[in-house]
Amino acid sequence: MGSKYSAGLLAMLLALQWQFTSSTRANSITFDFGQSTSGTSPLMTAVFTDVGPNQVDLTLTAPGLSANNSVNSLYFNFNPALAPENLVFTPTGSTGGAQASVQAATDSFKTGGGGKFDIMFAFGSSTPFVAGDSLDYLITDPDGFSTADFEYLDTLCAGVSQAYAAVKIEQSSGVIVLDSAPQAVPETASSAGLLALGLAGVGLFGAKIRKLGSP
Amino acid sequence: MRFVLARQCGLSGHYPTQDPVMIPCINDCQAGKRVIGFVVVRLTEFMAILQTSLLSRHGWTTGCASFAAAAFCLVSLPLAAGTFSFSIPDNIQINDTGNPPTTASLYPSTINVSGLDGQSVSQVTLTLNGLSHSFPSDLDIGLAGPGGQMAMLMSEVGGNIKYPVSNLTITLDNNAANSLPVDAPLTSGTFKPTRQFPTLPFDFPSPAPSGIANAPADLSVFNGSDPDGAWSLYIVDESSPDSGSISSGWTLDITTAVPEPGSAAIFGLGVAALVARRRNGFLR
Repeated sequence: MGSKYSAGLLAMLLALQWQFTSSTRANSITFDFGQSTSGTSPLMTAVFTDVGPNQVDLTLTAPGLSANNSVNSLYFNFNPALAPENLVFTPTGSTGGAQASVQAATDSFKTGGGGKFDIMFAFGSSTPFVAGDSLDYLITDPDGFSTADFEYLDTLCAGVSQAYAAVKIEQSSGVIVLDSAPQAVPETASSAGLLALGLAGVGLFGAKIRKLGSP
Repeated sequence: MRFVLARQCGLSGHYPTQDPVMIPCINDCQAGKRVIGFVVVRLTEFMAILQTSLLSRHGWTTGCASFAAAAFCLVSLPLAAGTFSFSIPDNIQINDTGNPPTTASLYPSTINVSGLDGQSVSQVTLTLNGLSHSFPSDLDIGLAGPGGQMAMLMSEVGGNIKYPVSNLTITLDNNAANSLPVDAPLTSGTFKPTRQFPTLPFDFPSPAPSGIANAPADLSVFNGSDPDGAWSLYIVDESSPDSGSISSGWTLDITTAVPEPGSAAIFGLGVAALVARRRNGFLR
């Protein structure tokens, strides 16, 4: 009876954890560009967050950008089953003077060499995205979409790995292109839930050990 | 020594066919040569030396078939420097596959140049006739010359944004005022060969010569080479999707220079002929 109870509880915990993980993945994704293994801040970060039906918030920051660097352009992909041309990008907030022209069309933008992306943020030379700047956009699409629709690879190009997103950064030594893969970002509530589930699992395992050890 | 200047070789009617000296030599003339004179000699050994050293080294040829019987021998020099145009009108399809780089339908597209032997290239220009592509910066186009020299004509140009083009005529010329646009749409005109990056992260598929993907965007690599032989155009599409064509083929314009025989060589030739004439009392 006790064994059946423990197995049922474990299954329930796993199911709950799966649900938390899935919803977290759908709610928010982050692209970190140029994050070093030593733990320094990425040069640039883009966070897509579901904020409502057919509404996604995009926040661009440059936590690790040095003073003499600037973002030239930024590239993302979109679900090929949907039309990126229908996306509407509405600026909702900013820090600093950065301004970008946003274009969206299927397989229409390259960083230079490499595959083709669907969305491009191009920063003007007079309004570059520099250290300390941030930009917020509300993205809407009448056809319906979510953050998961930005988790797609660019097109194939000879000799170049496919990328989910890319940024071109102008440095004093020239232009560099950095790719990034999406990372799920647990929300605060989700993190708390996951922590609670983890602790409950550890507790259950400890109780079971104690039970087995008792005469 | 007697010079008969500027007589076109290989064209009927330009020779004094009644001239017993010239007649046996006319049939030996080659296209692309002009007769600038003939050397009157007696010593066949002297001609043999000329043939094996001076003449062959400079691309000259003698017009007489047999030295042993020759008392007179024609010396011909390559045709005067000029610009020679060669075209191939083929429709070249620039394909697209899910496994780039994708080669064009004619790979290579080849122009065989002949009749310019003995000359050397002083300038090459190339024209693409009727270029269309839905994303031109997918294109990498390289040219390989008969001597193995390679140049990149255009690579990843025409905009990093999708700028489709249709039926352009683009001439690549080192002496053009401007390079092809990297961040703007292609247009018809004359431009320097241009590549966005000095190298590509892949090589062209076989049978392209190894290294052509990283060849310089510089047509002067062909300067000084022998123009005769196969000139091969290699076109690849490096990224999917998007495709195009070159509907009317391409044109190769080769400007040549005649290798100038050194003054000393000319002087030596004249002295040798005079010495031979005096010693043998020949043709006084």
